[in-house]
Amino acid sequence: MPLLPKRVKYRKSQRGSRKGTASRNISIDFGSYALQTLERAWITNIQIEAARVALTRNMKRKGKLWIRIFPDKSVTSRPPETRMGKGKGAPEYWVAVVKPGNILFELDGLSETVARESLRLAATKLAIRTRFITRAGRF
Amino acid sequence: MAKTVSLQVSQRAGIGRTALKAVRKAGRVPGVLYGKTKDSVRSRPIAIDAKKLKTLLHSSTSENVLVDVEVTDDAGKKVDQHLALLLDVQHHPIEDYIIHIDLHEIAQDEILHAEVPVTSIGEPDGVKNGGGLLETMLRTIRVACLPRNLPELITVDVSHLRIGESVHVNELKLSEGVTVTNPGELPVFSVFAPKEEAAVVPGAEVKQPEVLKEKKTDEAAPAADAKGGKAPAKAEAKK
Repeated sequence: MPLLPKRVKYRKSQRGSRKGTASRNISIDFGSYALQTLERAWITNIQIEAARVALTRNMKRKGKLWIRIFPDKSVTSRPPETRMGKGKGAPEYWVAVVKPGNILFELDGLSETVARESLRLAATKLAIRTRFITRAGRF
Repeated sequence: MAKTVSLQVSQRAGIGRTALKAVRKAGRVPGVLYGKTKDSVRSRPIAIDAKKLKTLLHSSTSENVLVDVEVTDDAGKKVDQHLALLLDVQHHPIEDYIIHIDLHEIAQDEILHAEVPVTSIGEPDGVKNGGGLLETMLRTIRVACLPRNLPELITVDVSHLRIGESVHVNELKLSEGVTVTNPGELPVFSVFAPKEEAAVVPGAEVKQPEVLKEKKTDEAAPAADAKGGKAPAKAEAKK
């Protein structure tokens, strides 16, 4: 099941700014290995779910996974062949805003080889450049 | 025991973003030296050679290092000397170079409080035979000791742990003169049984989030009626 907020204050949100590098969620706080983003993007809840499935399949029920991002921003779209006006479109999907330096996933309880391969497979599900980092030596 | 490393730092005149950028461009790392001892130094801006600092951190097990700081002026003349603890190291989130460091001056004969990293050795019995998962609950332990007794790293043998068992803070074996300030009942390492992933039902309906501030439909409805009411009237007039 893709990630989704349980309750929101408003259904629709403005686009907001994605400028600059990340200042929060930039260090490994839970696990030993992590996937860090090098680009800015809106990562959809479907992409996060696909990455999670890829990770857990390769981990084979060993180790522990932390998802460090959450899709709390709704994205609206207008139906096709609609005239302009008549207000903002309906919410279509949910995204997490990520900036360069953000930690996306963290892993623990695995060997580095398995963690590296799992996070590589997860990264293929995301449309951004990422890198593998470790708690011990950062890269 | 943590060994003391000597480090030469120079006084830094400029403060603020522009001055710090210039310091970093010159291959130096800005930092600050502060403390609360008899001949106390006030918070003092300093700069360290980036290469020397990187070598120092690479050669140490953790970033908690005891440093014998030699402060020099612009001409390279020694001003004073302090024993300090490398308290904080800030890294750039992407490039990973060191942005800033904090040096906390300490006294040789005064008890200091520091966080020491903990590592496990051995594979737990519950992981090897039971398919469990070793979880690290605490990665650092807060200790109080004299600077000469400060441990560099605390290693814990976890090979005896079975599923559902833990190593707690009060079970840690530390050298003499070192006291732990964390609550004793806190688990440091635990072995858990693997969690079964909840089965995903294909085609299950996705529950939409609850909206706390729904648009008021009562006001919108009469307005729509009024608009709707006018339009037929116009249409009739055309006829």
